[in-house]
Amino acid sequence: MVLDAPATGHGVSLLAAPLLVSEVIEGGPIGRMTREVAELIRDRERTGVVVVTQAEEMPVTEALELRTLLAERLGREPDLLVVNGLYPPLSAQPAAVPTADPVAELWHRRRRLNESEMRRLKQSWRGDRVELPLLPLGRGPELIVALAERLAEHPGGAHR
Amino acid sequence: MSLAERLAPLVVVVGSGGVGKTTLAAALGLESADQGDPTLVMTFDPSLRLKDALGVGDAARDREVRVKAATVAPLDASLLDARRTFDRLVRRYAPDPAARDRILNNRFYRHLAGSLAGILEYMAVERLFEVARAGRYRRVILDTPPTRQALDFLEAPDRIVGFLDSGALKIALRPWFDERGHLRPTARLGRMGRRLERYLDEVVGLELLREMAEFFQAFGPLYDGFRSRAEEVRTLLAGDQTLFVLVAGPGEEKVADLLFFARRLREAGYRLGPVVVNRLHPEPPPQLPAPGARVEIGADGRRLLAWLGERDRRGLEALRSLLRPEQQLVAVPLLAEEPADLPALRRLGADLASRLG
Repeated sequence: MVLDAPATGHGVSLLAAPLLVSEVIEGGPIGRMTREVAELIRDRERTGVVVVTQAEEMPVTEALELRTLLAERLGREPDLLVVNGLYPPLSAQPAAVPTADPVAELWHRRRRLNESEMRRLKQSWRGDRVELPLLPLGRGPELIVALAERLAEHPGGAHR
Repeated sequence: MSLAERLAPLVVVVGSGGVGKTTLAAALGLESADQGDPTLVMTFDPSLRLKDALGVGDAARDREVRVKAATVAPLDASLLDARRTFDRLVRRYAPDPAARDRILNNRFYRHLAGSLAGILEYMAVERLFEVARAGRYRRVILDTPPTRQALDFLEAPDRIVGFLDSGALKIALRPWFDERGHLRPTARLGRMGRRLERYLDEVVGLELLREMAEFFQAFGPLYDGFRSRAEEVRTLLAGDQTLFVLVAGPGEEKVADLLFFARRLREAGYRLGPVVVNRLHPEPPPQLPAPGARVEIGADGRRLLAWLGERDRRGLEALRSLLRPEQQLVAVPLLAEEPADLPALRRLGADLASRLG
């Protein structure tokens, strides 16, 4: 089963809800049931958590916060980090940004932003990571197939 | 007409998460202050760099702080924090220190009250009311929380009033427990009642029920204030002095959501100002790279750039044809870097003002 969770803060609340309820209602059937669900979410053998982000400032900050929240509130680590929508690398690394071509300049600086945010992620994120490029495909089956292929190719993404 | 004349005293920036609402709100704030209106920007969750740029640290969670920009009129900023606002309300309205501490230390309040649906949104409205009543600003620009259903925010006052008037609250407010902490209704039932009480204790825990009852009772003195404020805020949001700016990301995929949101706003009686499509990809010129450019863009890269530019242009065209003709639609191009310092935010604000005409 794959659960598409809501955005960061709400996502953690959702995952932490059984634990919260089991702490407030300790005994009885409700307490037992919520404790079981909380255990299921905490158990890395049974439940995997995939964090998806983009290599931009706010999403990276939120991904790092999400990992802290998961550790604090659920006592677990995420299993996989997916960095989505990366501008493709430039084929040449110029010394200076060309001013003659504003589109190329935009591209170049967006990619550089991606790269500096990737560095920030790598500094504190150990564990499996998959990078997915921005693709010229609209939301739909074609895009899903293309992304699935890239996920399957990735050694970090394939073994779980 | 200048931006200051176009914008209402209260500008509410709405839209889905991740579309740059907070950045645009900050930029509008700078522009408004530059046009001579003392302005306050209320934001929810700015990025670290934006927080630095505005100079709003933790202090901004409790009060308005001055932004260190040499604007014509002063610009202040504040951060909205549901928990702190809730705590502050408790401190202000609790009848005595003992009642205050009872609420603040109540397990139900500490664990659950902050996660109740709509609390974050409601607390934003509460803070807005405090500021509006103080009347220190000629313009307030309100960033809204990044909920998927951004309308939750607008419906928060109605929901609170609905809850306060509902039978559920009256039931919760009944004196359920006697002085010794026993359930009153079951105490009347003799032995069967005691068994029922034991059963309830086993299922949810009497302690929790006691704390819930205590929580609602401790809040008793606050209810009337809540209701009248919620109604005043509803009037404020729907009034002439309020203008909504709807922000969306680019691309055809966003069009349906945006139209839905625009319609819901109008139907709810709010005044919809400009619709802003943010971060539009440029359409690349046919010949790339330009002569002399030192950046090589391969065939794949060129295809992607062309596709993004085309996607965003089509999205904008679709919107233009589907929105009412009199609806103002403004496109803001994707910038090479997110504006996150005061000069860049100011440029964005001035740019936005010129596009708004």
